[in-house]
Amino acid sequence: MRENAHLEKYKSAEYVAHLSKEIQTISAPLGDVKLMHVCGTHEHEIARHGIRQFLPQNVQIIPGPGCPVCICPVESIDQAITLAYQPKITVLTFGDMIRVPASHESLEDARRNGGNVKIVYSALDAVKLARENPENTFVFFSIGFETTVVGVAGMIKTGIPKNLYILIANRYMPPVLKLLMDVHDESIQGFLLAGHATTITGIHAYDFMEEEFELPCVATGFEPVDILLGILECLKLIKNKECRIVNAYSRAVNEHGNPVALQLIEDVFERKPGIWRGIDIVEDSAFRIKEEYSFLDAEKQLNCIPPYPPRPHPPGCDCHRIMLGELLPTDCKMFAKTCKPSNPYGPCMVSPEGTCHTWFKHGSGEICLVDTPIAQAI
Amino acid sequence: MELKFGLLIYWTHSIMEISYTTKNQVGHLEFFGYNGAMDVEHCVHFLQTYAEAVNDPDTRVIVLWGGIDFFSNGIDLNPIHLRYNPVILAYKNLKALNKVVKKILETKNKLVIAALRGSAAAGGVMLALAADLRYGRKGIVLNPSYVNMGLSGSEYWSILLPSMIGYGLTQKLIYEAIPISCQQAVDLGLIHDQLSMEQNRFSQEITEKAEYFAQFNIEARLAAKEVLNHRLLQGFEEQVKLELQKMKDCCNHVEFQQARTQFVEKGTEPPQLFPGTALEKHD
Repeated sequence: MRENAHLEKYKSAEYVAHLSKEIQTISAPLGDVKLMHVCGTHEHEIARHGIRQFLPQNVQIIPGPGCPVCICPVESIDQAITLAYQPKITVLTFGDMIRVPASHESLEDARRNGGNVKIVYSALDAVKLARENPENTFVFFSIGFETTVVGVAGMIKTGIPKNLYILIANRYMPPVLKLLMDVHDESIQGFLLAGHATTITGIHAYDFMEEEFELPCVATGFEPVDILLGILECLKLIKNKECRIVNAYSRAVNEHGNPVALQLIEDVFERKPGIWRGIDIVEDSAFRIKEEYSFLDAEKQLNCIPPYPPRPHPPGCDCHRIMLGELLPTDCKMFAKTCKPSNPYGPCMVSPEGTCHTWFKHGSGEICLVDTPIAQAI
Repeated sequence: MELKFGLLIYWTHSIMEISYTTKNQVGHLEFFGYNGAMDVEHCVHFLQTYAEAVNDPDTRVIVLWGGIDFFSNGIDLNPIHLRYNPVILAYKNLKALNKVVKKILETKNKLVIAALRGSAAAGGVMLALAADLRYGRKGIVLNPSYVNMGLSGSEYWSILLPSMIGYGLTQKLIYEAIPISCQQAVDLGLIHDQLSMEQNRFSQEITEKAEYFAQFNIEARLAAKEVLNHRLLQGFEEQVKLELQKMKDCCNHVEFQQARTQFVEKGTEPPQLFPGTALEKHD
C-alpha cells in the first residue's frame, strides 16, 4: 500500500469532483459526444470507480477492442490446444487465457482432458520453468498488446533455453483504430488511448488519426483522476476543433515512447495482417517473430496445426460487436443469462478485462454514490 | 471520339473497367464489373472518374452506361463472403456505393442519363435512379429490392423510390421483392422510356438523345433540375443514416449470411412467393 502512496492523489475525491465539474461545463455546448477507449483496463477502472456517474448525459464513453484475451483469435488458441495434447510439450500461458472458448474447447478443457497446460505470470516464469525442466519442451503462448510483446522481445534477445518455444498471438493496437473509424463513420469524436501501450509506442504512433481522420486522441492513465483528465483533454480538443494527439499521462508516457523497448520489438518482430477475434483481419497488426529468431517460433518448429478447421464465430454471440463498440453488453441477449463468468459463451465474459465480465461484475459504472467520499465531495 | 482516359483495375476476384470518353458535349462513362458487382475499389475509381466528368467544362451531359450484361448489381458479395468478418467489408462497400449515389444526386452542372443496357439490382438500381433521365434496353430486368439478400437497403432507396413511384408501390416493390421488367419499370416511373433491344441501336438512340439535350436549352434543363432536386435533397442525411444503421444490423443477421452463402456458393434457390409473375405480364 505504501508503495502506491504516490497514486493516492490520482484517486482524490476533490480532484475528481473538480474535473467532473469542468467536464460538465466544457461539454454543455458540444451536444452529444461519443468517445471510445481501446483498453480493457480502462473499462475495468471506469466501471469499478463508477466514472460514468461523473459524466454528463451527453458524453458517452464506449468500450472498444482493448482486451487482449478477447481479441485473441480462435485459430491461435486452437494451435495452443493442439500443442498441449502432444507428449512432452507443456503450454504456458497467462491465467485469464485458459478459460477462453476456442473451436471445440478451451485450454482449461484441454488440461482436464489430459493436455499439458500451466499458468505463468510472466514470460520470465516460462524461462524459469524451462530451465528447471530441461527434459521437457515448453511453449509460451504469448498474448497481449505492445506492453506484453516487449517483455517477450526482451526475453528472446537475452537468450532463452533451447526447450522453450514461443507461440505468438500478440497484436499491435494502432491499426485497429482505422477499422473502428470505418465501422463507426463519423460518430466517434475522439479516442482515449491506453496509457500503458503508449508508454511503449509513444503518442506519435497515432499521428495518422490526426492526418487521415482529423480526430483527437488522448493518451490516458488508469486512476479516476487520470481517466477524467483524459476525457477533459479530449473534450477541450473537440471544443477547439483541434485534432491533435495529446499526452494526458505524462508521468508515464514519453511523447516518443520508450526507445529501448521499441528497439527490442523492432529487433525481434515484424508485423503482418492479423485476426482480431470476431472482428476482422487487421492490416499490420499481428506481431510475427523475425526469421533470425525462427528457431524458437513454435508455429514453425512444432506441429501446431489443429486436426479440425477453426469454428466460425458462434451464433448468438455479440462479443465482436461489443468489442467494436457497436453494442453494449446489455444489448446481448445472452449477457448475464446464458453467458456468465462461471460459464462464459463468448470471450468478453472470460477475462477480468473483458467488457462483459467487467459489466457483469461492476455494472456499467453508473453506480449509486450515496455515502462515498467522492459523492460527498460533489 | 476523343479518349479522355480509362482505368483497368485487377482486383482479387473481379476485373473492373472504367472508361470515360467525350463527344459533342456528352461525357460517356462506362463501368464494367464482373457480374455487375461494384466492390470498394470500383466505387472509389468510379467516383474519381465521375469527378473528372463533372469538372469537364466541355461536357454538358453525362451518360452512365454501366456494363453491357449488367448495368450494375450493387455491392460485390464475393470478396465480402470470403472475408473473415464479412460484415465489415459489406458495410464499407455499402458506404462506398452510397457515396457514388450521393455524388450523382448532388451533380448540379450536368444532366445525368442512366443508359441501362443490362439488368440492374439493389444498389445498382438506385445508382440508375440517381440519374436525371433513365432509359432501359428492352428485355432488361430490374430488381430494386434488397430483401432477397437479407438486407433492408441503402443507397438512398428510401428517398428515391417513394419520391418516384409513391409510398404504396415502394412498399410492394421492396417487401414483395419481385423483379420487374423494363416495361413495368416504365409504367411505374422508375425508367422514363424503353428503347431498342438491339445493343448498337440502343446505344445510338441514347447518344442521339444525350447530344440533343446537350445542344438545346441545357441551361434551362439544369435550372429545372436544381429546382426539382432541391426538395428531394433537403434533410436526407438523417434518413440515410437510418438506412445505414438498419443495413448494419441486417449485415450482422443470419439472414444475410444465409442469403449470401446461397448466392455466392450457388446453393438451392429459396422458394419464391410469386415465381415469374411480375415478368410474365409484359414479356
